[in-house]
Amino acid sequence: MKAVEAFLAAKAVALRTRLRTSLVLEEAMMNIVMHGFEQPGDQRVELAVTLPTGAVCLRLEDEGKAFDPRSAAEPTVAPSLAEAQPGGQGIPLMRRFTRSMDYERIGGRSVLTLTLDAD
Amino acid sequence: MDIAVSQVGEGAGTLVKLVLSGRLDTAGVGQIETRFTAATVAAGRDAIVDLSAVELVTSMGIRMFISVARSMSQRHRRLVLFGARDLVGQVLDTAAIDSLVPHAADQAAAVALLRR
Repeated sequence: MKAVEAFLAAKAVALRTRLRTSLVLEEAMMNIVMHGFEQPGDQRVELAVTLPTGAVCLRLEDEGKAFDPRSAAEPTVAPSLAEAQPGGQGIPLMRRFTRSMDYERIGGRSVLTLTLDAD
Repeated sequence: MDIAVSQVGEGAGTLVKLVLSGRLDTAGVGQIETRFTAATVAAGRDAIVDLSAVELVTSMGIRMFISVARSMSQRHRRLVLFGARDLVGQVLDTAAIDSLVPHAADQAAAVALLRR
């Protein structure tokens, strides 16, 4: 995350955009790491960051299980704390703070592309 | 992520106040979760959390708040957040956890929620 933020700062990307990018990137990475692989081990995720006009684009590629985050149902809020299960907020946050979320499965690899508006 | 703990009020109405500063992401939660839990759940009092100096909350931070609030609820204690700005306020709105962990505009409103 720090390397991504440093890159964005060097490109004069506004702080608010950098924070949203860090948020979305963390949520995407957590989903891949926690749900994408059966066994711990050599789990590689390749990240590319590009800056098309007015946007920040994150492309994450991994060899984990196929999962399209766009298909995830919206979580329901538990009626009480006793019934609340921590977790499940990552994808709603990705949806909220991205302009678009695209997913492809190419040659056994998941490719997730997240585009955020830049301030 | 830094955490400062103090008390508000006197006697039976004393509350624990926590001031967080920095980022409540995976790394930030890892840094403070033990102290946060000790200062809230173990303290045996209602607690308010000042988020005005927090610049980022991720789902891991939301998870920590819910987990702590649930533990406090089992001890008949409540947790109220206040002062979230900008992106943090938007994250809390998106998570829609206000019915579980209330969020107030400022300290006075947070204390008022607990006094009801």
